[in-house]
Amino acid sequence: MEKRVHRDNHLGLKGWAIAGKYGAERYLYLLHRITGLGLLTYLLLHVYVTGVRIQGEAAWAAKMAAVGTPFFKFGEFLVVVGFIFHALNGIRLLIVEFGYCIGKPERQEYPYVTSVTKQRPLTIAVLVLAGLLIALSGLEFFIL
Amino acid sequence: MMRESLLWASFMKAALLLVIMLGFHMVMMNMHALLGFFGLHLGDVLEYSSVMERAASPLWTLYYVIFLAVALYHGLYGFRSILLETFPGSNAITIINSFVLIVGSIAFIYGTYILIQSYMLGGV
Repeated sequence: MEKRVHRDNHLGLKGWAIAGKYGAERYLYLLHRITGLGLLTYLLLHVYVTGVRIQGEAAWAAKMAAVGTPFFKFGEFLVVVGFIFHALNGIRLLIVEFGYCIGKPERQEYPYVTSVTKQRPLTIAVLVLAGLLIALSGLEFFIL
Repeated sequence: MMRESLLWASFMKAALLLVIMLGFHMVMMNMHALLGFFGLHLGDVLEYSSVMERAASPLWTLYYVIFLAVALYHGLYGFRSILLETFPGSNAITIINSFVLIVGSIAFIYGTYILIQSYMLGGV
């Protein structure tokens, strides 16, 4: 009798990025998670840091001076970039979740068109808009 | 325990609210040149007097309490989903739910305490 070998198909974190032939949307999903985790971390730190204000003006000024360095300014820019991407990609996910922009069910004939392909223009629009808003934020943070 | 579908629906509603609330917060705190272009000059919003002026407003206080609750719910529900996927198993669910609930409660209680204290200080 053939011995049955247990194969663990739980890929864990590795599966987020490498588990086969992923399309562009899968990498947007990965980026969505990474930006989400980054924004959550920032939120918890932000709540803690801004809490200093109840200790008075001197404590607030000292904390603002500590986080006013170019390093933190760049970090803040990354938070804005993360938010822009996460918000716009999230809106795309909501639109798709409610069944819009994915077409109607239809008899499949070669060449096959999936719902992922049908919502691709939405993905492109979201990425273009995100790119424009990120460029605008970059201008605001580093040039203007 | 709340039904998972209700938690998921609330997560999506929180997402829509956050796009508006966090978007507004980000523009107000970071996009001063852009606001100036539209004729809005808020001054230094991070100056202590400006921070405490907002803190003294009941409307701003209410706004930030709601903002904090919505942001924590959306963020921690998403984090919970990632943890449940990464650590499958019936035992893990209880631990993950408890962990997320404790972190969320501490952050909400601390954040609300700061907002109420600031409101009282700013009102002086």
